[in-house]
Amino acid sequence: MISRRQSLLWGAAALATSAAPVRRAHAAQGALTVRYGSAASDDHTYDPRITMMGTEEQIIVQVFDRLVAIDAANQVRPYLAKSWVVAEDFRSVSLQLREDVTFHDGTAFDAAAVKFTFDSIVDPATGSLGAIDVIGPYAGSDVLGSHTIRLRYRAPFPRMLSALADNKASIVSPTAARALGVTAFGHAPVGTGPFRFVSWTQGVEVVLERNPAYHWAPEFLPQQPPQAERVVHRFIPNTATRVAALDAGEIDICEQAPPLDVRRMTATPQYHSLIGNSLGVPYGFSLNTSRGRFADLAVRRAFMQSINRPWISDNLFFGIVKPAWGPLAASAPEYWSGVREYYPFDLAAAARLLAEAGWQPGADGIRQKDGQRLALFLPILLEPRIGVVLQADARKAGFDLKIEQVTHERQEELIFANDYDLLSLHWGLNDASVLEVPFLSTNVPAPGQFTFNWSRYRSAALDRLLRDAAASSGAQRLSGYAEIQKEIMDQALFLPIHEVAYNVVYSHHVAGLRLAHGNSQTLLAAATAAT
Amino acid sequence: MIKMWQCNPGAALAVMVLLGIVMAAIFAAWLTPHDWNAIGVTESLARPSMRHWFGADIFGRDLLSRVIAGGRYSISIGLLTLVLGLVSGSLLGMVLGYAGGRIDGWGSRFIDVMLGVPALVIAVMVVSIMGVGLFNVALAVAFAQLPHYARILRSATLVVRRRLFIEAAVAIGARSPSIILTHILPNIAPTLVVVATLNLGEAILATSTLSFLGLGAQPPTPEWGSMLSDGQEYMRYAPWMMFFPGLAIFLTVVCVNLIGNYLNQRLGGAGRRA
Repeated sequence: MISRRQSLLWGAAALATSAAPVRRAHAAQGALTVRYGSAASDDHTYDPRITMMGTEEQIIVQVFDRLVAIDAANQVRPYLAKSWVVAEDFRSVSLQLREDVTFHDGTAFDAAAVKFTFDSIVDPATGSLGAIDVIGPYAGSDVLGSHTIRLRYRAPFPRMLSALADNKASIVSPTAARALGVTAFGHAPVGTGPFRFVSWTQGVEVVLERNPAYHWAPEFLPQQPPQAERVVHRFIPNTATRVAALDAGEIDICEQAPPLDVRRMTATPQYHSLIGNSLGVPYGFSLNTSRGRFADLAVRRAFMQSINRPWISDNLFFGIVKPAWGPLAASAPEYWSGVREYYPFDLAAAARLLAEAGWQPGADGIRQKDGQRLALFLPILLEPRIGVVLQADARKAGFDLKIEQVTHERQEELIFANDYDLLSLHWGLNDASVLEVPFLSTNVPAPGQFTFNWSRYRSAALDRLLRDAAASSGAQRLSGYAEIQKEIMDQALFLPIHEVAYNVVYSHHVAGLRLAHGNSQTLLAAATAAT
Repeated sequence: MIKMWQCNPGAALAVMVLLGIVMAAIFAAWLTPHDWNAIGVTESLARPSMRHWFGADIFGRDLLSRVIAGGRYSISIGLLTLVLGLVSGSLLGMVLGYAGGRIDGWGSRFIDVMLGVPALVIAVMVVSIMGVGLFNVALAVAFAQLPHYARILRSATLVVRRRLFIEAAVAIGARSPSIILTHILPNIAPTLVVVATLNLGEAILATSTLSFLGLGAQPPTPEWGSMLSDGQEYMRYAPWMMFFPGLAIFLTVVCVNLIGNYLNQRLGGAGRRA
């Protein structure tokens, strides 16, 4: 049944369509081609075992399937595995696999393929960058039957099912992977997914075609081959060009459109959008506790209170990106809403904290103590615009924030030299254990070890909390992560700025798009031509 | 000035406009209607209006104030670049031109090689070695322009060197450095002045270019090139973010070039033919 409002919308869409006959042509001929504009300039590999780039996963989620799926309500659903039994000690899981699944190369999907996939991820020769961290303390697999397998873990691993649902835990074809070798397989991936890999023109486009045999999607997706005949995945790194390509009808889906364009385009009936808050650590700044002004907790707290985050959200992102208040994305199940109470914008409170810490206003508005200025150094790599706001806001509280826009190399140099007071950070991962990346003591950077604990905070207590929470489940896990988030906020280690949103704006000629698990890719399996 | 107006009104107008821009930059602290670094002065991307003549950028900063203050950085860095490039380039050119022979041969080949590489590429290379920042950009652009000056000043020196009074100076036993400074330099001064003015515009453009690429001015410095680069992303929604800094660069460079042309005609120098 179509409501009155919807029928009005359809009418408007029809009008718009007749005004743009050229755009409609490709969809009307029955053979739907979905053209996706990627923000990457090129990709390196489409081997799920190796990748660490979210943009590469946009192809991986179309070409590969996972053992289990997680639906929009965060429930684990059958996928390539029909059923499973998790051991009580969380050290193993037995899975019963589907028997009617074949890889694109014609070989059958079975327990041996699953074993091969996970064994090769932990094999150093594969050079896994992302999957190796995703699959946890994987110890090995026992093939119990042609389609029955048990995965074993060295330590209790309660989140094993969410790990198996991760895009990086996709199952690869052992035949193809063995025949091609690691590098070539990444350039010609073979999976069981709804689309088959056809070609990759470096820096230009990737072409996929429908897998006509596909009928093993998770139950919340259609149990049939995709309607789209082909997927053309074009690399258009320049944002303005990508938006213009969508406007001109050269692509159907544009990823990561700027907030102003999202607002403009979705205000018309010609475009729709999907916006998802990515899981992981939101965009923010690690405050260097190991040196200088930020060694003092009161100064860190004062700094955080001097930054007006809602203003950033309203003025730089036009409300499309939400402010972040804690070290974990608000969409994470483990998110602790208590972070909302911390460090609201309050210049008077910041001034009080600084005065108590001995920092008195100087002649030029910058606070001073014992002849030293309240100066901070921010080498900024991600989103330099935010640095400008930090600088202007913090100045009102008496901070002199010096900014340098840096390259990856320069940032690395400064990290090893411990020559910074704060650094921009964002980390996407579909699990709360992502907090280990920037907050575990062992992740403090050291010569030869490029790691991400840039606040350089070493606490045995926090380490223990992180390890315990990762090894627990249920309510215990939630309370564990709540305590961790509280500790991080109490210590003012990380200044969260905004949630990281993934968005696509797409033409109204396309329907049936949905966000992949983790909200950073778009599933094209159910894409249809809207008429 | 009146005479200049009669024989070359374009140049006279250029002098006045340039004077206006420079004065505005010098007295920016009193002239600008708002603090040029203050964010949230008005709503972000506000259109040009009576209160904010040039509109506002994404941070809600007053663009008129930023364009006025931006002259400080763009013009002074342009001048610094010019002085650095000109002093080192002309010194090299004079020495090569005067010395002649093998020194000139090798030196000139070196200059040829340098001229073969685009100046911007050299400048980007220098900045990537020395690090970003306005002063480093000035050094980089100066270094990139050095062979250009050296070549022109070398040929000017060659012409002067064959003149009789140089031979006379040599005959009475004057030393080379003294000949270069007291006899050659004054005689090629007109060329120097013309080359300098003609290249000032280019120097301002080059520094703006490097800032546009994110190598020069660091936030919140309102340098014109970096303002232009900031506006890029919002061109569709707030063209004034690019228009006004671009206009400032354009006006300054045009004015400087008009004055350079005028001086070229007046002083009859052997400026560049381009």
